[in-house]
Amino acid sequence: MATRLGPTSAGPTRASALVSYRTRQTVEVWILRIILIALVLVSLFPTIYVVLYSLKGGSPSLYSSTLIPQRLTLDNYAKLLRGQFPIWVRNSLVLGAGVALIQVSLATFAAYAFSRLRFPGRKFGILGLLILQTLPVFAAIVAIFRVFSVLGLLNTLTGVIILLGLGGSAGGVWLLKNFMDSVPRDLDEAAYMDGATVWQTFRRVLLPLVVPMLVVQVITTFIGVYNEYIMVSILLSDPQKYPLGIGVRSFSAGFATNWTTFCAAATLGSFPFLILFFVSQRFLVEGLMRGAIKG
Amino acid sequence: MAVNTAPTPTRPLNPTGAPKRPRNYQPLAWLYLAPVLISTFVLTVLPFLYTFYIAFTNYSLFHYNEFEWVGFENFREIFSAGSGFLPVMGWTVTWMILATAFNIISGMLLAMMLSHPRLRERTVYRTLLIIPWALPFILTVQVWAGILNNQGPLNQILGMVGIPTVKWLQGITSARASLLMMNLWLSYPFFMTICLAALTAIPRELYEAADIDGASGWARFRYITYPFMLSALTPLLIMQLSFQFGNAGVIVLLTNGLPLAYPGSQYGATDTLATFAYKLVYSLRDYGLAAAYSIIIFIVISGLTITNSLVTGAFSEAD
Repeated sequence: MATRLGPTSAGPTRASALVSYRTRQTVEVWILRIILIALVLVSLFPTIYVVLYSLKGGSPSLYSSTLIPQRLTLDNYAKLLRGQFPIWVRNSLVLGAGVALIQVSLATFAAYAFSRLRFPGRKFGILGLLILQTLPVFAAIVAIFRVFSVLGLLNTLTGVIILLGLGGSAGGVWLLKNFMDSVPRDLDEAAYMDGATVWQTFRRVLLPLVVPMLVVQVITTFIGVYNEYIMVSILLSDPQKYPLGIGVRSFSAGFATNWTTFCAAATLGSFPFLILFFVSQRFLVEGLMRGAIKG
Repeated sequence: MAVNTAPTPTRPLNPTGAPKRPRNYQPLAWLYLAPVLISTFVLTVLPFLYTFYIAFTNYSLFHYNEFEWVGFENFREIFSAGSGFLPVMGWTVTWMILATAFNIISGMLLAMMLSHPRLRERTVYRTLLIIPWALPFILTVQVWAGILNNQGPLNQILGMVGIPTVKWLQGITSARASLLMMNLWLSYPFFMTICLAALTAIPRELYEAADIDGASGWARFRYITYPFMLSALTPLLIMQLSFQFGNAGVIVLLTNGLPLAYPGSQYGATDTLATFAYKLVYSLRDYGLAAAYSIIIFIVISGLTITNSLVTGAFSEAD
């Protein structure tokens, strides 16, 4: 900190200027602290509120007379586990894992081609990928709805996995390509010199180096599918097939009757993500940076 | 595998003895691309083309199996007077611009606050402030619906300090403000993180030089921080615009487009083109019209994306 204050060999005027500079900074930093603490409290309010209400005993209603629950209990969680909640959790896991594994494995191959191989139309392909990535999937929902209803895939988890996994496989290519670009090419060159084929270079040299990134990509995709509302709500209509985020809507819509149950569901349904997020955050941020920031 | 090791007269690894450097066209690339190309073609490109076709038909709940070509009828309906297209488009553009501006400005302010040199415990604030990003928004948006309920906790807190009940999600202006506010809560952690990274990328020497020249805090921001951040964040800015343009999930989950723009109207005051297209599919079941709206959305978003890649040079750099 002191290094930023410049040379200290100055005379008395310079010294008093330094003192006032320090005082100003101290005042600044305390004002910042107050603002930041206030922001943290406001920002955490929904989370604290939901966890508290998930433990609330008595009336399950949102319309409570007190903000802080009078009696704490685990009944809401017990009620949740007796209902359809476990099925929704299972559906979410099946959907998320299915989509993430399909999407990331297909994208890995394409990303390798874009990062390391030469082929005509490569530039155009990258622009195409960028457009596909920003396009809301539901731009094509009408046709998908129609085709799925003809093929009998409406209201099936398989249909959603096919659509989001195979149909969305272009989504991760750009990010993975950027990841792969950051692996030094010298490694490939060395492998080629030793007579390795393209496949061997991919399989033995590049792939082991990008495994952590692939894991992060799987996690990100999983979270993306978990959060998907629009497509899934159009394609699935049977509550037995719902993933968690959509299933709990039946609770959250019942402000008067099921609100505390919803809070328990929201707590259980969010907690694993908090952990996943903080585990993968460093890589996640790094990857986003590469995609979002230039230079 | 074993086949490969047989001493068949396949091409030798190094015909000339020189290292084989695959610099030119490699047909093998297509094999690696095939899975993504085929599945994207079948499940994204074809459906989109089919949607394009449906936009010119009367496919709907009433013409479910025997729909027919109606030419530009759906587009005529969209662009006819009183169709709701203009007001919905108006709010879509407002939403897109305000949501993007709020997100970027808040991210920038927080990043600048957090990078104050004397703020030693900045990691604590950063970690706590990032939490909304770490929670699945499909659940947190539903939580917000409860918080903003007329008798919900927000109004209870406001009541304690003597502010009368606000019908957050029922008035046109308050519902729009609530959406923007909640969206800011969802998005600021991401922008804070990105802006912090962009800030730390600015060379320290510039600020030291400014200190020596006796530059004021404002001058340091205006001539160092701002230009650096602007060039670093331009691609993100344009990506955000197109993202917010098509961002339907949070709106459907919080307000579902409501309240109605006027009694008996088909569209709501918080409906964007995307949420309205969703409603046309999900509840009104006018698929032809929904397809026509999808095409308009597609045109706007690809326009923004192409602009983005031209501005940022992603296209030329891609090589």
